[in-house]
Amino acid sequence: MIEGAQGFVAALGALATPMNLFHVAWATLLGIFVGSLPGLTATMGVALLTTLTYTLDRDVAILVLICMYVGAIYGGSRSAILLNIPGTPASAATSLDGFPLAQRGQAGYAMALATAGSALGTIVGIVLLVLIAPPLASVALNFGSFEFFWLAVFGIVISGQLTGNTSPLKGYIAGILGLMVAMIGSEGIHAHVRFNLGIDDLNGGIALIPAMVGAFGFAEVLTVMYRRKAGLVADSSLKDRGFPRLRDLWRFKFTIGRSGVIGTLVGIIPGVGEDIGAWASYAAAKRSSRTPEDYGKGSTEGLTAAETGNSAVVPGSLIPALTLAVPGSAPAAVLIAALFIHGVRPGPMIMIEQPTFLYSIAAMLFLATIGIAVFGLSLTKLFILVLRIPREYLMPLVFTLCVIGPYALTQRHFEIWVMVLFGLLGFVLRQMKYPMAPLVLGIILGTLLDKSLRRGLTLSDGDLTPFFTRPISAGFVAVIVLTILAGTPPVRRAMGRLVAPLRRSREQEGR
Amino acid sequence: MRFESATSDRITAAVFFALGAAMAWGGYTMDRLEIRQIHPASIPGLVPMILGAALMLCAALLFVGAREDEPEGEGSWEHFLVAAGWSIAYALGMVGQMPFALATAIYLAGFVGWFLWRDVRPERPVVTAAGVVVFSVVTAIAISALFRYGFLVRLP
Amino acid sequence: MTITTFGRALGLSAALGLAAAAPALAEWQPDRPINIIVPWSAGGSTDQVTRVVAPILEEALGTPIVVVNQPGASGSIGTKAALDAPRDGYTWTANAIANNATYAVTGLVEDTSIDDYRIYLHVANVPVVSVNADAPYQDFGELLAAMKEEGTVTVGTAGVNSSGGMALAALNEAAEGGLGARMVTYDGGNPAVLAAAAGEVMATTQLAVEQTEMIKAGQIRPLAVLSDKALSVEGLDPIPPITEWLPDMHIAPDYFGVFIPVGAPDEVYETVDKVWQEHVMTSEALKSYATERGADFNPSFGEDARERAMPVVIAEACSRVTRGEAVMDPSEIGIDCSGMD
Repeated sequence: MIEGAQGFVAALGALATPMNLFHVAWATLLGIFVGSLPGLTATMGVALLTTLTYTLDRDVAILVLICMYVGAIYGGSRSAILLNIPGTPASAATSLDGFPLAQRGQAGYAMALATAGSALGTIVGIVLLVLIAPPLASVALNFGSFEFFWLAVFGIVISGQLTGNTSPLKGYIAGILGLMVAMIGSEGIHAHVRFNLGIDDLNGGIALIPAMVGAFGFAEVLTVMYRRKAGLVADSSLKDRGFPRLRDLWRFKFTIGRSGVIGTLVGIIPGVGEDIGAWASYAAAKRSSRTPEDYGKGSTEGLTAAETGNSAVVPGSLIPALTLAVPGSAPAAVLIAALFIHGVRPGPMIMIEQPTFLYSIAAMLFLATIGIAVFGLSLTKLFILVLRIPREYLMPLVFTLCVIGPYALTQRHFEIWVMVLFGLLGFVLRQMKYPMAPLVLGIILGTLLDKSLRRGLTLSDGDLTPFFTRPISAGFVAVIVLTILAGTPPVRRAMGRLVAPLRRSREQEGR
Repeated sequence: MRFESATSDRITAAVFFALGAAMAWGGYTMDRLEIRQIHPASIPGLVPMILGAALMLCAALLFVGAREDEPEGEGSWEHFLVAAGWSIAYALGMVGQMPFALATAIYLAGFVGWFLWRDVRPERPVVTAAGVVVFSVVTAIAISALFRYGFLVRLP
Repeated sequence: MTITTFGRALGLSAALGLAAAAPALAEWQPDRPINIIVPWSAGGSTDQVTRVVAPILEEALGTPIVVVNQPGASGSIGTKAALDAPRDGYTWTANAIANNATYAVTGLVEDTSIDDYRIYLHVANVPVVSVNADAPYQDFGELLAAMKEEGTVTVGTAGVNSSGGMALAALNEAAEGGLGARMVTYDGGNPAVLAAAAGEVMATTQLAVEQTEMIKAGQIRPLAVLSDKALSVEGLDPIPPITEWLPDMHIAPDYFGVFIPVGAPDEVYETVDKVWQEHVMTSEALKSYATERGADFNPSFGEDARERAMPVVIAEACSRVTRGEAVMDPSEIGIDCSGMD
């Protein structure tokens, strides 16, 4: 505990140079823009920025990416409140109470509360990150090939289950498709080239970043252009209060604490991201509220719960990303790829090999939090202007970046082909209500699953029993079976009464 | 044709089933590397076989369980085709064949221009057209310069 | 991980511009970062020593040197990436030279040989046979007896073509093919040693430099060094040589280095030759790394390095043939096995 605090303070001191603060400022601001513009998601922002910052120093590059991530998740609340269109899926729950507040002329106050909620949620998450990650890493040191195999399976199953909009089946299919993508190219045990379809460029496999830029960038551009034009009616006459009342924040202390913890825990679950964190916090706050009837009609408590919940997911999703190399959300998957590019190997050894790195990440999150608090409370009018950029101008610009990004990493036109192909595939799958998070998770976990299974079978001389009898393995098996059972229609119907009605009413497809 | 209908679910189920079968077959016939004396449980085709079978199972369940969802607002196929076609032409056709800034300027002007004329129908076409051209050229040059000199990224 | 193509991050246009602008025989002045692809995971032998060398080269060349880990498939994925990158002198690779010279023989990388690189060697490494601290084997003789029984001992290595994999194969050969030990492949030397320390595998045959930390921590117990003389590492008891148990074992020093694919402008190689001679071969940092970790500091470059490397290359390539693991005749890439018995 004390060690964690010391590590955090030391890392913060090392990071807080004027140059780094400059990076924090522009990256957070850019993140808020990306988040507030419907059609630009946090995942896309982080993926594009990874390709464009790979020439920077390791710490600066990671700092910039984290600021983008935190900023984008927060920025989504702007358009949710002002336009009733969540800027990113993470803010779908925010619009339920944020937009009614704006209609009553309290848009400024709603945005201030959202800012405070986001900042406090991230801070709760940071505290839990520093507390949970080191013990989790030491537990993970006991993971062998058998456990890593089940961890990969668990990640796909739980992510497919929780993000599959109408049926978990589509989530599972998306996950399997991602795993299949990971099968392409040279495999990690015997270096045999699989499924290269006669194309030499595929021998090295499909890189995550071009695929993500396609599935989250190009696909999003296509989705935005495909949809009928939404009427943008931002009310720019903000006359009400732009600062949160401390009295309100104190009144919501339990809501904020609860939502922060729920958001962080949702973040830890592999591939289950900010949107679910927001819905889960919102549902929990409503159930324990003294005024549940206000929810959906402009409840400040509900707004705070949703924004605290989605922002707390960010540090939460980095907990498994750093200690297990299993991403807690889609943007965290990109961050793992970025860490590898910059020579950091996330996984159980990180606390031994680079014991201070975890605290650097916590300090980066903290700097980003300060960034959103400062910009969120001061630059309200600017963000409203940004919301008025017409999509005809914005979308081709985004696509231009989607072309530069993948090419910048490897200088191969092949990566642009990958981006385009995944864009088209992502568009079609998204229209058909397939969630994108399990697909991404599959691409990143495919090699782990493949290598762990075959390594485990070599260790046991082809015997399957250790996969079921070792204690941690057995635990994973039990959880996976329960998860799949919970996805079957009868169980699902019973459970669905808790969260589903809320989610379905405002479902925002794709992530 | 709508994306979220029982029919489209059945069609994709068939496609996925075929894909799963192809991968399972590919895994089954994959080189077992006997010459390298590897452990028979670590053959490269093992996981593709499992994944292929899993996808076939899921596809079968999808086919059986396909049912109508409440339809959502439909989009515009014309918009989609123009946006996709023009973007692909830019990414795969123009980039690399001509200077990046030029390709980007042409792409931006085409994209913005088409959608403005299609959706908004400007009242003063000459002024709007000039605005679009200026926007495209300035943006294309700015992006190229920013990434080349700011982020030290090599452009196509 | 799927970021296997990152190392090709080099611009063709800039390469052409550079070649056109630079006059012949001029000192090479890199205008952007150089990538050294380490085809093994972070913390392994190649990674460790490359991260000691990189700052020395960085200072001498006046440009950032980025060490990129691209592990997978016995190092062949990263090696292939280095060979596929534009030949402009900005993508190097680092490895044990015996690996690069024999990837074609095992079929892991097609159509490649030692002559694809200009070679810069720094240290020679020796493999050590170690077992998990809780394993019952107190000396190598006991382990050898256990290994001769089918399927009792699992050995973690970084793959068939890694130093550890080659060491296990050499042991098998020296014991006249009677070993029933199962090799389990990990992503690199470090994960393989960790697996032995955690008890997932019983033993490992990776290099001394990859094991010293875990040996010092008491997690694994060294039984023998694959050498004809004992290995002494600062702070440890000397590790007995394998020849105490297998006197006929053939041993060639396993050289490590950085390699620049051929085909770049001549001034690249001339400049790096000079830097190697003046800065690396006299480096105190490398010397102390070697004595602390149990490696042999023995630098060379160019033709001299190629000559020193050949014994281990020939030994590895030809033992692949005798073990039936070769997919081609080594003589096709200039490796002559007739001298081997």
